[in-house]
Amino acid sequence: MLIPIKWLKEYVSFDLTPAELAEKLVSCGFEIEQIIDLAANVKNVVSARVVALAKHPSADRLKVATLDTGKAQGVLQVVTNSTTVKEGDIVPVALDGAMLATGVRIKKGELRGVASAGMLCGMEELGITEYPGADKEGVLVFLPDTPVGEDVNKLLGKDEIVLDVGITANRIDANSIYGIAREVAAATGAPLKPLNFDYKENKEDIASYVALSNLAPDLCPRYMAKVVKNVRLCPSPELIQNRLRAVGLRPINNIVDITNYVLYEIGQPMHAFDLKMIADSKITVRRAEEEEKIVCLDDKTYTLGRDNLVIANGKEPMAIAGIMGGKNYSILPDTTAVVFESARFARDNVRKTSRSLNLRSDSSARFEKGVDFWSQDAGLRRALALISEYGWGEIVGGTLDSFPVRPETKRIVFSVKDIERILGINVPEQNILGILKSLTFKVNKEKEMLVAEIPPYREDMAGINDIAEEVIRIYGYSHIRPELMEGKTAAGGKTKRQEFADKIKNILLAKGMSEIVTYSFVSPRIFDLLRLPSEDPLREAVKINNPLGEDFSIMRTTLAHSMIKTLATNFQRGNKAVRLFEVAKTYLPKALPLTELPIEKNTLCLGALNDDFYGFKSILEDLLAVLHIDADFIRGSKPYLHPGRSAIIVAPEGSVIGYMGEVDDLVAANYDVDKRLYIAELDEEYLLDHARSGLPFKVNSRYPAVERDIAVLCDKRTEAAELLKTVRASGGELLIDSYVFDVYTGDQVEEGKKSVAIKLICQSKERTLKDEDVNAVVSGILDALSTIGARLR
Amino acid sequence: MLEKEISSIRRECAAAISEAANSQKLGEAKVRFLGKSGALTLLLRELKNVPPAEKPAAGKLLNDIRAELEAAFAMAEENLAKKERELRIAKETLDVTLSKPYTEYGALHPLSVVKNDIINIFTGMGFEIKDGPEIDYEYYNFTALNIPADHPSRDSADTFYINDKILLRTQTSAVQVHVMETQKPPIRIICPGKVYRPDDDATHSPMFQQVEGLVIDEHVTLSDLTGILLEFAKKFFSQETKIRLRPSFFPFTEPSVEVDLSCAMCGGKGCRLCKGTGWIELLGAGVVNPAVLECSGIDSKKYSGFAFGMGVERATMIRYGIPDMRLLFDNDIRILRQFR
Repeated sequence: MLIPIKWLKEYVSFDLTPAELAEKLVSCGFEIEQIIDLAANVKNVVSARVVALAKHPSADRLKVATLDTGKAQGVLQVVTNSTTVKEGDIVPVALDGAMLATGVRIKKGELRGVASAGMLCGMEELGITEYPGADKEGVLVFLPDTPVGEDVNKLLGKDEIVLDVGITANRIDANSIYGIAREVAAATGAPLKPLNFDYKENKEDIASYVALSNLAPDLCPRYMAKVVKNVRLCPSPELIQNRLRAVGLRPINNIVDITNYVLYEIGQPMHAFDLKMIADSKITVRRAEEEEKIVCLDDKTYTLGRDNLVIANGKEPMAIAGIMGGKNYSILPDTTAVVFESARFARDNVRKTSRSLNLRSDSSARFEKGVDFWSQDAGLRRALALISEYGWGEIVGGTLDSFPVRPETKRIVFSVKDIERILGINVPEQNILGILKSLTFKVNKEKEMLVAEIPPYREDMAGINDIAEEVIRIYGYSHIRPELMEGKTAAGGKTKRQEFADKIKNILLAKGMSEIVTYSFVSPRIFDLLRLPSEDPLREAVKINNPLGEDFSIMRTTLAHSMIKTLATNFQRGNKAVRLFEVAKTYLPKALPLTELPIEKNTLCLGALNDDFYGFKSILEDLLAVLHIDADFIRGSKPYLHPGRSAIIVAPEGSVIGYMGEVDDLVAANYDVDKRLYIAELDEEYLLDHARSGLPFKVNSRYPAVERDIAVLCDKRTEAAELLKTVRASGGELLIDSYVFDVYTGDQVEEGKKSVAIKLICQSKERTLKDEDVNAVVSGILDALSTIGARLR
Repeated sequence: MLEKEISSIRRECAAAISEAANSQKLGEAKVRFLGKSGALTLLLRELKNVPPAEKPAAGKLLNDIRAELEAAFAMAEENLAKKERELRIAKETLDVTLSKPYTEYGALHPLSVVKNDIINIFTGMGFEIKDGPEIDYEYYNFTALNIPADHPSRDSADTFYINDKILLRTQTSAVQVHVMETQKPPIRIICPGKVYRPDDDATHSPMFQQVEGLVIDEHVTLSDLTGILLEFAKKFFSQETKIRLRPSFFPFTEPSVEVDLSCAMCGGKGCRLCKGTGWIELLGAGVVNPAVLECSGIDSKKYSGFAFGMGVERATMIRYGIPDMRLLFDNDIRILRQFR
């Protein structure tokens, strides 16, 4: 909301610098986006009368102008190339040291041997785009009655500082200069000056000119209209024009300007219709018919429907309610009588219509934020007061007013203690009363309680907490004393699951893995990149209705794409050894389209570039070992993994809790990578549910362990897991550990076979083992191995 | 006769010791003289043939020479061992400035680093951590938080929708409602998590993380909120950090405040980070609107509470001076490794 400070001062006097005013507003809840000095771009340019114009002695195209700058610098001589300036014209002259809107700085000097004290300026150099009767090109000529020697910023109404104030969504009443004036009055203690609502109306009745029917009170809870006849259409006075320019609006004519003026002053969007165009003399507020069309002021045709509200005459829509008027009903030079509309339209309906038609205006922007019920009447009366003040027309008696549900005056009953209970500090009663009165609340004492009568424009006020906020924001938040809560000590802290989640990350960090964070939404094309078959359940993803683009349009069902993509990006940037992990949710719909919330499953994804299968697998093995989850790696694959280098991870009770493996080269190629990539995904929920610590503590055997190595020949396709399973099943209780430490194929081993070296570790809790004890264990194991075709080498 | 032999052995032995170049040679020499069939051992055996009258004197001579030789060998052994050790150490000496490749400790993502810090500060003050769905019903994200049906934040320009009823949560405040439905006061929770809004530029990401806090108990006030947040600010930045409250608006709190922290970089004097103001806007907070409590079935006459929320990305950018939010989702290992 742009607030020109001089305009603001019309309603409240204060003696503050713009920065001090800004600070006051911030302290009572209004952010200041910017402090704009409208004069900042043009400095040291004044008006001057051309008293004489002579030819330049040595340049045909130049002239020497003698200027009277009056109180500024007296009579000066300036060389100009203007062909249009005449003696007697009043023109802007940039004096020595001047700064222009074009960024140019002016210094006095000589032009072809003739001294020049400055430069005559045009509109662009003054940072304006229009001036009554002036040309866009060439030197600007001011109106004849313009005083000489004045700063042009003042002449052009640009000697103004404008605050750009951020208004929170609840304070729709503050979306106006008068609304901010109320706040400034409360914050500074200065009195708020009343608005001038005075106007005289004639003895006629509006009913004899036009009738109103409101067929959509749900979308239009209030509609007011007044008629002004014998309208004298003319440009607005300079004061109004300058104020409109200060808030970025273009003055048009007095009638249109009044509606814009009131929009900023009161916050009420208004509309003016040409009375003679109202067919059948009937204004109807109604929903548009399907396919009903209107040509608006922007010359575009809009096709409407039942969700759009229109203001219609007996024949057709004259305006899209609250958004824009129809071209045929606008104020034109031949307009002699107007209908001023001042209404409240439902903000979400205005927003939806504005969005669906892609049509926005100052009016729709205001209605979208919301307009309070006070403003319709106040806005209308202000518009008429201006008409009356300037004698721009004859106001017809009577008002059209549809106000189906009049809101009751709200009262909030509270006590000083209530305020203390919320704020934690005691604000004295007299301060509370003073603050609320300064905010135009009426407060009465009834026994121990205070009753605040809420002004009609404060629709945000609902209860005691709101009163507490009003009090503290004016009393000052600096009065709040930080305290630590009393009351029961809470247990707080992390749950076991949350601690295990931290532990998982710590394990991975120690394995040299770094954490990534990627977007939860992906493109549906990722399933093709991952070569998932068309019937793959992972393709069943939750779709976003209004995504930022196709690349962010579905909620991921796997983290694999994001991981491979991140590895690929790192690879393409020349990063060498890369080990990454991500913990994030995957979103698995129970049914599509979604009728209930999907399953959100915390998933752990690991990825590596420049690693090897077993190195990558060891990370997972150790992770599971530390969590004491006894899972198996079993041959199994995913469509995006190397079929011979991938495994599924199976929990002891048989459920699949993840997979790992090398990314298929065709998939890697889809991501422009020609190196081996490794990836794994684990069900983090399972890990957190089943992780445990290694306790209770076990005492180690006091007797020495005995190691034996055996090498067996077996079929090349026999997996280590099968051999070890057999070894462990047949080793008895003396075998405390066993693992494969070498696999050999080559010259010494026959084709189709491999030699597998297995370490056996035996130990007893009761005694030192003798050779024959260990021999018995080994021979039992060898016997068992022979049954699966593995014999001692 | 005996003396002559002894002196010959002494002479030979001294020569053998000085000739022995290493422990092994020395050992061999020792065996030659003092071993089972060494020269001196053989001489000792001859003692039985010595006439009884001469035996004591001869015995003493032989014992003396034996002690003398043993001492000589012991000293030689020690010297040699010392010399050999010195040689070995010289030979084994390494260039300690060399390194070999090793598994480098990984890096937690900066957002996790900051999120963990925030969590740890609040769990230390007795808060529990709660989680909620990211894809949620609009009821939890809006309606139950006192956000009216015609509120602009519900617009599709500000919220990702799955359908009319289901959306991607735009704020972790939605978790408050889930918790209040199932847990009765006292409640003291923080809810970290991902939220989604359709913005994408240097200071906005369509996915970002928030940490929401909620306290509900008897006699909870705005002063308590200020106290908790000041404590947080001191631990998160430094003991010198100050906080400032500014009135603001959130539908689910009343009164609502923006909480500014004194700038961590300049200490409040004004710098680039705080845009010269000396303050950094980090948190939104307020006293829980009684309507929100009542909506979740909590008696607002008996209980009151406060809530606060902050953006993890913003806190991270402020702490590390990261200029563009998109860098936080770049995931380049060279960026990540800086946060080890």
